[in-house]
Amino acid sequence: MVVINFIIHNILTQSAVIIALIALLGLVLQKKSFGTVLTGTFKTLLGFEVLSAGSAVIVASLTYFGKIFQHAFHLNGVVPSIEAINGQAMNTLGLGNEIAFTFLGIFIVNIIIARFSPWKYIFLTGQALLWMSTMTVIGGKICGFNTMVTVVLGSIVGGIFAVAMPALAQPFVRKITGNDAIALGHFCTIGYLFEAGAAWIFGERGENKHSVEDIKLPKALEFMQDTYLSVAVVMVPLYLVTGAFAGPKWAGVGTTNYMVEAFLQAIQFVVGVYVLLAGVRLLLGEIVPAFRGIAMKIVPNAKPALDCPVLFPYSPNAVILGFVTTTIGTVIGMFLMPAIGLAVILPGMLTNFFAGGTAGIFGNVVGGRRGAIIGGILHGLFITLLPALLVVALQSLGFVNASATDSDTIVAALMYAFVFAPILKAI
Amino acid sequence: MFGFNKKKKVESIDNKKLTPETIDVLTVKLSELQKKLDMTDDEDEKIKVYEELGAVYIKLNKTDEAIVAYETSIKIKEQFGKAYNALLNLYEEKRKAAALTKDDTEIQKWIRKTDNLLDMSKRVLRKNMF
Repeated sequence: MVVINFIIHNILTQSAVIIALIALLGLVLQKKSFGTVLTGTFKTLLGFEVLSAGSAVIVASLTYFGKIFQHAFHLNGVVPSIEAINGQAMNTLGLGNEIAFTFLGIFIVNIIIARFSPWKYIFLTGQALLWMSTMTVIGGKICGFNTMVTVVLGSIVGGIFAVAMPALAQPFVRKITGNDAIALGHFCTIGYLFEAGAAWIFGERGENKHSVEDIKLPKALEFMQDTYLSVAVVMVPLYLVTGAFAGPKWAGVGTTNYMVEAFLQAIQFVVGVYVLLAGVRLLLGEIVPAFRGIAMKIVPNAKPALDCPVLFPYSPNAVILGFVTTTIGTVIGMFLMPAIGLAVILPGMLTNFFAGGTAGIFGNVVGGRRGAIIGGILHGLFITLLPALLVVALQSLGFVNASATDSDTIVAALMYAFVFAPILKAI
Repeated sequence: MFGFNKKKKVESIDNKKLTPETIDVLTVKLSELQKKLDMTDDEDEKIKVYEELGAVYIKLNKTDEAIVAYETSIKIKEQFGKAYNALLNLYEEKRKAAALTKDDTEIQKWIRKTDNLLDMSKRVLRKNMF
């Protein structure tokens, strides 16, 4: 009994162990060799610890940034980063177990829906599933659900999103790719549909519709070649300007010059993202292939929903235009949100590139050049508004100066805050 | 609403039975393309020929050979175009076939190849941007 109690209270409550056990289950179900099971399980365990280390670095940097932003502008400045949210939820807030079980649950619900319904979509973007499980667990915590309800409801909501989002995007994907073989599995789809809607209203139609692909765009965005450089290009000036306004009293630490400190803290943020994403890759490197294999065997006629770069080759100019216009929209949104009483949401370069770029393809296919430009700017505003709406709920749970990014995951969490919670209060 | 909601007929590999005449024509075309390959050192020309080879193999229902031809084309130069689009569909077709026979190694192989194609897509886009 003592041994069982020890295992329950000291081992099975550790998120890293739970996640490693899920990977072990997947590998055993696939009848992998003992050596593969052992190394796969260990790599997953290691991945979780690397993720936690990255998260700690990000939190330290964001805490500094929150302090200087507050003193510089007397406003709440929030960095949109789903990685930071996931890291804090898994690590600082101790939601790792719930997130791990929900991740597994979403996969199971996705397979069940695909197996028994006409919607054969299997969501294959592992990282996006991790973000979705994080946000549904956060939603459960916003509503005050216990662990069981949080995991079960999160699995159902996430599983439905995993099928519904590729299904909603499919008419557009068919038009973009010219066939029906693959689907889009990226939890920014509500943003894409928003841009498509805006492009339909404001864009070109019929004979007047001209594709972005017919024009030659200048090549002047060299920093975007490297993921981490693109984060640094935004974070360094942001920290420096904020540090300059905050002054030495708040931005300085010890004997280090305050501007040097602001610069180093910005670099720390980039380092944190780098480490955290390395952890995520390690963490999912074994789990995702194992469950992909299982899903494909259970639903052989599945339609794989793949990550957003799958669409880039069909409309590369629209990706660039989408990135630029979404960035313009997020900069406008940064100034606009405080005017309507919401937190300042700083532009997030990674989201602007991947979500903005893909949204640009949707805008272009629906409303041509004009649709992509106007739709892109509105998309930027939309993806700034969503995290702003979530800030209060996140901060009440203890999240430090960060908000989520991917629109579908935010909508899922907002659904908990604005639909499930009021219903629960009413009954 | 957006004017393209109707499902378009899927552009898939032609599984119709080939007439002996068609096979002959395609086989001749194949050997012509092979000759062209042997005669040229120009990379752009080679890419074009490999893409044509892939298309002919698809018409002959030789999926594996088509994949090799398209992969060679992409290996010479990573770029968007016919080879990427064709490979995406061919990998998916192979993945589906592997899933029907419940062959896990093959399923993983084709999913991994699709993943590599997505990585390439990111690389090419970034390179083309700047």
